[in-house]
Amino acid sequence: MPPAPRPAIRAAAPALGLVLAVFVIDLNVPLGVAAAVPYTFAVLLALRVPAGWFAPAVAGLCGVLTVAKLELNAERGTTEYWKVLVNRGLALFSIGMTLFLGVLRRRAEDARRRAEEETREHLAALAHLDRLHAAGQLATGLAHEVNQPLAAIGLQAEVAARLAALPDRGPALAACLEEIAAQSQRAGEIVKSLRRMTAPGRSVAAVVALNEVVLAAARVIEWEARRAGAAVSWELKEPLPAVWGDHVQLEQVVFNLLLNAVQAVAGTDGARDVRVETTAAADVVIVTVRDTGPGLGPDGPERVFERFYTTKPTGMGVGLAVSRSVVEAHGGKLWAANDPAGGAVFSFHLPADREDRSR
Amino acid sequence: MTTGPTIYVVDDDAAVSRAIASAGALLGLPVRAFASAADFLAACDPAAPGCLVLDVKMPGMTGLELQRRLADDGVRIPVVMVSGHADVRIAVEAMTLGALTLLEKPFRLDELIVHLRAALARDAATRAAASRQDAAAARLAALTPKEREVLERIARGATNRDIAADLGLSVRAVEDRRARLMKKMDARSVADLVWVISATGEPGG
Repeated sequence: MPPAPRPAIRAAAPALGLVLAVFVIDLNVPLGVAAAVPYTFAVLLALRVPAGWFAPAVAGLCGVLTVAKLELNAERGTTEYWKVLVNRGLALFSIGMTLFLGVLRRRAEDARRRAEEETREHLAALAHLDRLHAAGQLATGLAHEVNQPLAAIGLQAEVAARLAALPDRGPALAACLEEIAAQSQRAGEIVKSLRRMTAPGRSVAAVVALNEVVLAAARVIEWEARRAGAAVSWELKEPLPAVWGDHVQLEQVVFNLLLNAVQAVAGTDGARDVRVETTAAADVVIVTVRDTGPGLGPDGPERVFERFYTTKPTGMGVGLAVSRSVVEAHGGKLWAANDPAGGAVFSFHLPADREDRSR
Repeated sequence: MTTGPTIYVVDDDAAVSRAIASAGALLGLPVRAFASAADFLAACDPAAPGCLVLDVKMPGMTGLELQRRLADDGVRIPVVMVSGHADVRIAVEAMTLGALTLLEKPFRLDELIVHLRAALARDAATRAAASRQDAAAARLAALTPKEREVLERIARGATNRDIAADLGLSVRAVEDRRARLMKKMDARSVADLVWVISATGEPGG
C-alpha cells in the first residue's frame, strides 16, 4: 500500500466523522430543533482538506442528509410543518454560505501564494542576472587567472620534454609532471566556479553552513582582489549554527558584499584591507564585511540598497538591492554603515536553523 | 670571491615561480623565488650577480614599482618582465625603466631561456665593467698630487719637456715621476694610461 494518501485521509476523517455524528443526532431529536446547523462546522473542516473537490462534496452530502432526515424520521412533535421546512431551509442556507465563503477565501489564499511564488521566481531571475553581470565584471580577472596555470603548464611541459631526452633526469621529470597535473586541476576549478556562478538560479532550500558560503565566495573574489591589490582576510566562528536557505543565493550575497568592498578599496592609496567575520548571537548568525575604502558617500548608507543606485562606472546598481531582497527572503536583515575608524561595514544576519532536519 | 649567478623570480603566483624554477634548473642555475616585491627587497643583495624575472601585476608593490625602486636605489640587476595581460603602456614603461624585455604569459621555454641568458650576460658585462672602473679609480687614487699633475699633462699630450717647463721642474724629475706613475697605474704606454683614466669616467684634466 502506498503511504502517500494517508495525510489526506487524516485530514478528511474529522469532517466525515462530524457529518455522521450530526446526522445521527439530527435523526434522533425532534425536527423542530435546528440540529442540522452544525453541518456547517463539517464544511469548515472539509475546507481544510487540500483537494479542491472535497469541501463541495461534503457540503452536498450535508444538504442531502438534511433533506433525507425529513423522509427517514418525520417525527416533528408539535411543530407546524411550514416551520420545519423553514428550519431545514435555514440549515441548507448556512451550509451553502459556509461553502461559498470558504471557497472564496481559499481562492484568495491561492492567489496570494502564487504571487509569493512569482516574487520568489523574480528574485531568483534577478539574482541570476546579477551573477551574470558580476561574471562579466570578473571576466578580465578570470582570463588572467586561467592564464597563470596555463603559463605554468606550458613551461613545465616543455621542461619535461627536455628532461625526458636526458639520460640522467632524476626526480625532476616526475616533479614537472605532477605540477602539470596540479595546475590543470586548478584551471579546471576556476572554470567550474565560473560555471556555477553563471548557472541559472533554481531556488533550492537546504541546511546551509555560512562559513562554507563565505569561503566559497572568498575563493571567487580572490582573483579580483589580487587585481585590485586588496588583501581579503576572514575570521570564522567555529562551530557556527547552520541556517536554512539557498546556498547559491547566499553565496551571491557574500560575494556582492566582497566585490563591493574590494572595488571600494581598489581606488584608495592607503591600506587595502577587506575583512569578513562570522559570529553567532542569540538565535541569529551574523556575517560582517569591513573595508578600508572611502566609506559610504554623502548620500547616506541606506542609498546603496536602492535599485540602480551606483557610484561605479561599470556598476549596474543591482547587486546590493538584490542582496538585501535575498537576505529578507531568508528572514534576515542586511544593513550598511560607515566605520568610525574609516571605511564601510556591511552586515547581515539570518535566523539560525533550530530544527533538527538530519535524518 | 664571486659566486655564480642566481635567477631571482618575483611572482605572486607560486605555480609560475615553480615553472620558472624548473627552467632555471634545466640551465643548471639556482633560482630564488619571492612571492612579493617587498620580500625581494628585504633579501636583495646588490653585490650578488644574477638577473630578475619580474611579474607586472602583484598585490602590494607592482612589478613596475619594484623596477622603479631598484633604479632609484642604484641596483642595476637586469630585469625580464613577465605579464599575463600586458598592454602597450605597461610594455613601454617597463622598457623605459630598463627592462630587457617583456614576455607575455604563457611564454615558450626557448623565449625564456634566450632572455635569461641575455640578462645574465648583460649582468656579467656590467659587473666586469664596474670592477675595471673600481680598479682604475683605486689606482688613480693612489697617485700623489704631484704625480697627478704630471698625469693630467701626459693625458693632454704634452711632452716631458713641455711638462718640465710648465711645472718648473727638471726634465729628469718629470721623467722620474712619469715612471713612478706609469708603474702605479699599471700602464705600459700612454695609450694604456689614457684608457685606464677614461675607465674611471673622470676627465683627463
